[in-house]
Amino acid sequence: MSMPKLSLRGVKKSFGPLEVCKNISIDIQPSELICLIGGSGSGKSTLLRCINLLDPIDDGEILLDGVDISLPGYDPNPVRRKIGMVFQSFNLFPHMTVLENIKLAPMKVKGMSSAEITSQAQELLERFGLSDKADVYPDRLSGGQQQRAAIVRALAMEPEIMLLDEVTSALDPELVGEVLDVIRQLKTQGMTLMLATHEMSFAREVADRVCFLDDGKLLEIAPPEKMFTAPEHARTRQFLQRVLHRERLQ
Amino acid sequence: MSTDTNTARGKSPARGLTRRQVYERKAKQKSLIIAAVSLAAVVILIYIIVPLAPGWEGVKRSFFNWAVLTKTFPKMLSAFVLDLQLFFIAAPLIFALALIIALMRNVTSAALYPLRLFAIVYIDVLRSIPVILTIYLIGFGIPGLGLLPPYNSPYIWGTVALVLAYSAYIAEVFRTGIESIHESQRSAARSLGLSETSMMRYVVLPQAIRRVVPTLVNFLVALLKDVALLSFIGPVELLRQAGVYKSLFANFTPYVGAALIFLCATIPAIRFADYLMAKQNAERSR
Repeated sequence: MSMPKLSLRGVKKSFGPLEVCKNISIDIQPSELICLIGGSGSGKSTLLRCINLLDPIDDGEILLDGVDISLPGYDPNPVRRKIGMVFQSFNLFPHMTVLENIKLAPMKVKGMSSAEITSQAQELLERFGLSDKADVYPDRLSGGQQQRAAIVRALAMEPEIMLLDEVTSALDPELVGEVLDVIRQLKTQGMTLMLATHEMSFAREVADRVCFLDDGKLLEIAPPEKMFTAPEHARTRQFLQRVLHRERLQ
Repeated sequence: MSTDTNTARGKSPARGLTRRQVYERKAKQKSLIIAAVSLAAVVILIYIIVPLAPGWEGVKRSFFNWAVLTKTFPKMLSAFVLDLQLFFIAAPLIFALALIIALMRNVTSAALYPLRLFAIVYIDVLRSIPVILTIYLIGFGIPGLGLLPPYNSPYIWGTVALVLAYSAYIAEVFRTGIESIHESQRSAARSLGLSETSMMRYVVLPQAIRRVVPTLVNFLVALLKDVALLSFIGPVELLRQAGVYKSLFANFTPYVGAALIFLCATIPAIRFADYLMAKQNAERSR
């Protein structure tokens, strides 16, 4: 077995007295797609933020290609060039056009020339159906377009791993599909992906493995077929029953 | 097209307006008439009552003296040019200094703590002293150190005093703007690998400054008026010039003239600030 792309070993994170991640360990293989599921407040988002070094972990290790990136004092910026992150609320920079949003980090972090990154950005925009939106400000875009633009912005840094934090949760139902298509595309291209999601049928379709988080603990990790048909824990069954029932109603 | 189909669609046959438009037009006319009548009533009342005051003739002579006004106005206008000059020198300095102080105030690294402490003290001290006192202390105090001309000029040190006092206020405005930018914007910037400096420069500051522009315009209006405070330490700007004429003619009309000049300069700026604020509110509620 090859070396995992990303390893979490006994990751712990608290906010004050509140323990948000309790001893979480996962190995993620290159090109693997991991879905994190669980109720709100179960620690999915915090885990992703910790991997992106946006929130420092209290204990444990996060290894990227075998290197511990979670050491206190480790420079986070080179890590973030390799690990892209996309947020539930898009977080595009509202004072910049889509193209400027995309160009900012490659120019300021990687020192790429404007011409170089512009042609690359236009390719990406075309691939994700946004080529006519390059010079538009984010507030003129639909939620789905904004989220796709945010994904393109992260991709422009050519990350090796993408973390997607409930990227469809803030979208109108009819716009969810276009963003899920983008994720499918990323998977086909062999991107290593970790996504927190409430889209159970999507998770079942694309995930290589599904992690169920409950109250900060990684309760269960299994291939989607097993997770959705024969989960081991009662808590998992309960959770799935609740959300799958809701999904059927929709 | 017959009038019948128009009526059927709820339109007035006469002008092609909807019922609601007709109603709103009528309501608007009515409220305009009421406003005009009540305004006229107030004006007439003032016009009748004020002259009944026993001192009215005296006030009229010493405050609203047309002859004095026409004689003094041109010179006062040119004195106002000095106010404008001082204003246009001070304003950019204030913004630059305020931005630096605000950024120092936001420094988090331990090694740079002295900068942060300096900014806190700077803002606290200068905001707590009346502007006129700062002007006196710096405008008289520093030249008193024995500086040689032209470096002992009250023009220089008066402007410096204004810059110090106002930059403390405006540093706080910038800081509020910086802090009003949502944490998620910083998260996004960090997740892209931007350094703290780049994040501040390209993501946070442009948004923060845009957000505080209306407040800044309001401070500019205040600054334009406060330039007149420099008259207390020497420069013969508008207020000082008016004072000179007041003594010369033993008449207060020059003060009224000075007030008129300030009004003409500041009211457009105030309206502009209102306009900017309304525009931002509209954008935010969209």
